[in-house]
Amino acid sequence: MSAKVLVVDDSRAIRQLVGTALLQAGYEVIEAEDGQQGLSTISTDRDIAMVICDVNMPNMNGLEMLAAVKAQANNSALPVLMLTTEGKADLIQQAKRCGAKGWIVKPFKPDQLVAAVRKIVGS
Amino acid sequence: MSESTLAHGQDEEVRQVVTEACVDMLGACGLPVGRIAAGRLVALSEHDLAGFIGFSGRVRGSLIIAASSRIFAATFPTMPGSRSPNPDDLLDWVGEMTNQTLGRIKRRFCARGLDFDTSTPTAVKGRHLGARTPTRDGIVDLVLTAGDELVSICFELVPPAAGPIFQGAVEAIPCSQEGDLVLF
Repeated sequence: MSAKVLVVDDSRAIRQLVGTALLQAGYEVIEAEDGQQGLSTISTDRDIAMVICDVNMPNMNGLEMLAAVKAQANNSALPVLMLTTEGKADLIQQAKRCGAKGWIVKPFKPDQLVAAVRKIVGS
Repeated sequence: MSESTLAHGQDEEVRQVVTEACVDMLGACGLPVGRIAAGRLVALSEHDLAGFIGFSGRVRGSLIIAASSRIFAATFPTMPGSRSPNPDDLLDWVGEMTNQTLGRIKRRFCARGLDFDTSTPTAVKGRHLGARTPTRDGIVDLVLTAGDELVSICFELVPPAAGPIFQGAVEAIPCSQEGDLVLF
């Protein structure tokens, strides 16, 4: 069975690009449009193996979602990779402290993203 | 002094930063980019999509990018196997492309020791978008050529109440660059 990856981004274009790359690499992909929807999806879907998450989003941003996910006892080990236009070192450190698995600055290369996902959840 | 005037003679540096970031963004999308001399009036009647994003902090302002749907279709990120963008996809990409362009501006500002927080982008579809005259102080108004098309950029910056925008003695704010990946 392929691993299920949740892509959380308010940009449909980015969700489509990430989704296509991961589908072609053999992963199952589901999507959410903001942190609030992402958190809700994570809370109800026990099969999610990994989350790829934007930072600047409406309703709930990615760092808020990350903190909320890590505060849930049954999701604290869920790997979260941040994918964002933000590149400030203090934000990256904040994500690391909150338990993120990594950080990619947009725009990204699909091959690079797939390699990171493979490293985190396996093929 | 007007609040929107780019004080301390740094308007040219801001213009250079914005120009570099926009040329870099469009170039990364595979478009050959050139610059039309500032202030030259151009026909913008084919500009039917525009992206908007704001920012705030020690400085505040906004970035607007307007162009034809052909430009945004040409820059839409695709890979083999992905479907062609529909009008809703394009409108979404307009916002995201504006967001990524402001990200490039922000990293250049960080290199000069100045940071700001960005809003989430929005995009609109209409007619004659980007046309404005006359320009005001505090606005970097650019028109770039991308192939046979024109891209209109409007960057408005409200500087700090006191002191220059970029302070020479301030250290750069550490920042990762486009495409950087770090795993913890």
